[in-house]
Amino acid sequence: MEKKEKKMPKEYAAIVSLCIFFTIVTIVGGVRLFFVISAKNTKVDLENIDIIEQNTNLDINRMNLAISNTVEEQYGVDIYYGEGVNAASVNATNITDKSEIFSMLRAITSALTKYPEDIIREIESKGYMVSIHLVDKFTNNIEALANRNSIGHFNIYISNSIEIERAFHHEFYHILDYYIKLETAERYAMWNKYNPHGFKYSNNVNSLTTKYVYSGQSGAHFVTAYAKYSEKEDRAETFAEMMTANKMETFFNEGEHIKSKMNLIIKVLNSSFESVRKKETLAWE
Amino acid sequence: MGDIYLTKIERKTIFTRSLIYVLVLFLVADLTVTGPFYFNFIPWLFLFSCFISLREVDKTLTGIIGTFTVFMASLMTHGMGVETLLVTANAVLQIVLGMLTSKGIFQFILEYRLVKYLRKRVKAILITVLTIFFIVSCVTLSFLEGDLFAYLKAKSTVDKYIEKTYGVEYKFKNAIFNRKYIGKYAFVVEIDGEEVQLLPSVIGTFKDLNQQERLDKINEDFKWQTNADIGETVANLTYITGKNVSYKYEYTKVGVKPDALMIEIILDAEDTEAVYNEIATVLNRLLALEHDVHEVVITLNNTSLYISKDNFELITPEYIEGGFKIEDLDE
Repeated sequence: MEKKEKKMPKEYAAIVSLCIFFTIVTIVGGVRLFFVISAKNTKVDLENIDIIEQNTNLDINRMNLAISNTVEEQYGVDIYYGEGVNAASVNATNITDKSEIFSMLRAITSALTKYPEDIIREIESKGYMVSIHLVDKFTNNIEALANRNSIGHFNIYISNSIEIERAFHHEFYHILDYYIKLETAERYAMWNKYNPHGFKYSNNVNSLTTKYVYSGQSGAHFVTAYAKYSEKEDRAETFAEMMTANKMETFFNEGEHIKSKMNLIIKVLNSSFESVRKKETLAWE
Repeated sequence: MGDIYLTKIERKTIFTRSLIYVLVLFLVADLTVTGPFYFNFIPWLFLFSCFISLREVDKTLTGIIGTFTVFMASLMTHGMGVETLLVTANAVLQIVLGMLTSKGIFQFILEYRLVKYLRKRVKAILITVLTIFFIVSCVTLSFLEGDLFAYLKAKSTVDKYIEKTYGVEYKFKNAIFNRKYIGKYAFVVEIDGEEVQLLPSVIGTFKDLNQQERLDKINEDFKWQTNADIGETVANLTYITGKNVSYKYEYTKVGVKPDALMIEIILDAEDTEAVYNEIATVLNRLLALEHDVHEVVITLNNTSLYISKDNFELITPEYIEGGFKIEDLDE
């Protein structure tokens, strides 16, 4: 017996075809739109970047954008990298390697998570602007710098060095110092009390010695030789050590000159920033 | 009249072809919108509509869907405006043409019966000729459409920037669309009795140049220009602030947020407060014009001042000048 072939009305076939067409249009359009805006809207858990990196389909470029956007949203600080940075203006070269940028962003965000989330917003609420610029390296062998112009733009330029996190804390303290200087009364009048009697900062990077500099012993006044350059650098270096050093170091013992400096920094930060006062546990304490 | 039912094989064929054709259409559309052929996927839509209608399907529905698709695509590309209306109207026309010639297209493109018809029927020759004619018409229409956009845009640009902004008398002559670059056009105007070709981005730089230099400038400008509207703004900066100011802008480079646009103004050491004044004026005008500029970078003596969109309203000569005064620098 001849098998009867199942037939379908042409109109039905046409409508099904059109439905398929529209489904594909919607899917293609939706997927494209998703990829266009995904980096912009992707939120990254800044404390778990490694996990996110392993478990998402974001390519490294989008990942970098997602991190910088999340940092901006969460902390209120702009991060510039790649060709968007005028690196030549600070005697540096641009960083364009996506993986290197990712490493830097990871280090910077790791450092940022140690601060109260609102601390930069608190600075910016007074009309200042804080930006972080990532560069490859400085041609004059420095690791990072911070600057402030007269309209209240605070900038950190940081290079792709091994000690990037420490360098960030150092420069970020300069930013905090700018704010303290501009917005609060002089709070570091006691600073020199913790220096050796008659000591003067050198203001010359070539004449720095290791005298009074900590090398594991008790009684040191400075955490590094560079701290002897100026009072500001001394504070920034001390703060960087507070954020990164092993807490078993001798200078963390009460009664040490360096510990006294640290206590003064904590006191000033506490009195200058509401966001610091609000936070129960602080990385530098 | 053919059968009113499709067999299983025919059904499979039409579905498969639909899928393949739609994918090809979008691939081509995607390439053409972002590639060198400005919005030329419309002829493909024409072919698509032919294909859809080849089996005598619901032509009205097909037409509505096709038109809607083009309308949405154009809306996303051009936004709501004259361009979108023109693109949609063109799509309607081409869909109708596609329907009318569907049988011929189908036979010509899909069933490969051309040779057979050429051999056996004179009618087939006519169908083929008509088909080719309509395809050529559609492609031509699409090109004309691009030129019309260019003309409208150029005219509006000239009105907006040359006379109203600077008070320079001009006579609009023509617009020339350069298809090598997406959405690029030059326009021909007569200023001070001299006919010159201008790009919006270089209008300000033409004052002291001869015709050849102007053409060179246009050619040079084509190399980097990707957005004529922003080019106009950049030209304003150049025109008003004079020869000490040069500029560049960048699209979505690494480190700049998606869709952000950056204008960089490079000053030389001799710039004065008057220049800052002019820059402040133009940047504020830029804000008023609602250009999609998210960042302006002003560079003086190799030092850059980054001004984000959020701070545009703060821009004054003092603000710009203050941006270059480094009060603290710590390593």
